[in-house]
Amino acid sequence: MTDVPFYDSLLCLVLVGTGAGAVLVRSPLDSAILFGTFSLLMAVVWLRLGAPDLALVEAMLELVMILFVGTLGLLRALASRERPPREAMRTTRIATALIALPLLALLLIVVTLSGVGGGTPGLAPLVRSEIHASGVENAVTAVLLNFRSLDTLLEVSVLLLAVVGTLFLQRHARIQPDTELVDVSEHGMPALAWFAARVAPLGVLFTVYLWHAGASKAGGAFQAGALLAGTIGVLLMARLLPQPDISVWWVRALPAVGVVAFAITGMAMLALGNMFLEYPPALAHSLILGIEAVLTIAIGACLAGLVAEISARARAR
Amino acid sequence: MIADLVGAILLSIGAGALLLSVVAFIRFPDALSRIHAAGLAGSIGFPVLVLGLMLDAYNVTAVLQYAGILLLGPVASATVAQVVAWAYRHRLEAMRAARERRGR
Repeated sequence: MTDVPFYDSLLCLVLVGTGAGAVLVRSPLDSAILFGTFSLLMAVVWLRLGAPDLALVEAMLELVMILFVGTLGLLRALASRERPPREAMRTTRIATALIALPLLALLLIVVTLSGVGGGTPGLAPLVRSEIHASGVENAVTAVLLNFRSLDTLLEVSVLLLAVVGTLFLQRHARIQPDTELVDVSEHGMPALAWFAARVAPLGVLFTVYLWHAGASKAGGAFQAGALLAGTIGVLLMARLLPQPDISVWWVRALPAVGVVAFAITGMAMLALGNMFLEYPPALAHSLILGIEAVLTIAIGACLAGLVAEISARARAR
Repeated sequence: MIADLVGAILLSIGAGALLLSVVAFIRFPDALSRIHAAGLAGSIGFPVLVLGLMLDAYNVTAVLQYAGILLLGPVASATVAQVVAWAYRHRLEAMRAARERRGR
């Protein structure tokens, strides 16, 4: 214990405290503020551990989160009255500024201290020297789907968990929606239907393109999946697709196919005598494209499921 | 060289229009005038920005992709504006109906 500096232990204590608070507190706004503090401290921890780039990401995420919560607060004020009271708007602004400014300062300090670009080279040279064994030409895809594919498997699992959690809470916890939802398709939106019918084929085409482009340039399953979900979302809003029926087994199974296919591939590698998710270089290209294809569908299904749940709620009113 | 210069000028005009549009979007009081502010981004900011990028593009595929974006952007933003305006009107009507019910 003697080699743990006093301030580090203090930091850890407050970190655990704010983290627990963010989970335990009831009001969403308090929870968000505590989470913001947690994230700020987490950025400091990353700095202490000598990882300025992670600290940057943490602080950026936090900034986005604070702005998002600030906007939500304003939206709620707007929804509750025709004109939000001046004081409420000012309070929201001051609160946002109070939390966002230290983060901005931290960002500046980190950027100045680390000298982005001139600092450590990171893992880029290592990735570049090993990319020939990955089966793809794009460094990002090589890292996501080959070198660190375990991380990606976990990321996709987190997405699936989020969808399961949302569906469960929506259906069983009777959460009151914060803002009034309007079903735009209720009386038929000719412009929306026209647009959806023409943009959907393009969306599917671009989904396939993004999936395939991932092997050699920017693209991949996450972008393709997001685009697919957007396409499905537009079709759902225009009522060109029926509301997905969650009591059908394959509708429920669709968001999970990515995780399952990914894990099965990983275990198949064990059967070949490799490590979990370690692809033989000769098979790597087809394996990665195959996994990305399934992931695209699964990610699309996950995100579209969230959209469908919201529009189902709009229709139910 | 000239293409670079023109590209830079177009990018600045586009970025300026986008900034103006964002400020107007934040400052304008209601949904309909905000759609109007967003229209500035969709009609000047975004296309001019893409045109500027097109001048800097290094191959035909990229130019074609930009052209696709150029065509899709206005159509999408026009549709979104319709949908938002529709939802806004629907909501106003619902509020008016609720007020009348209460008045009776």
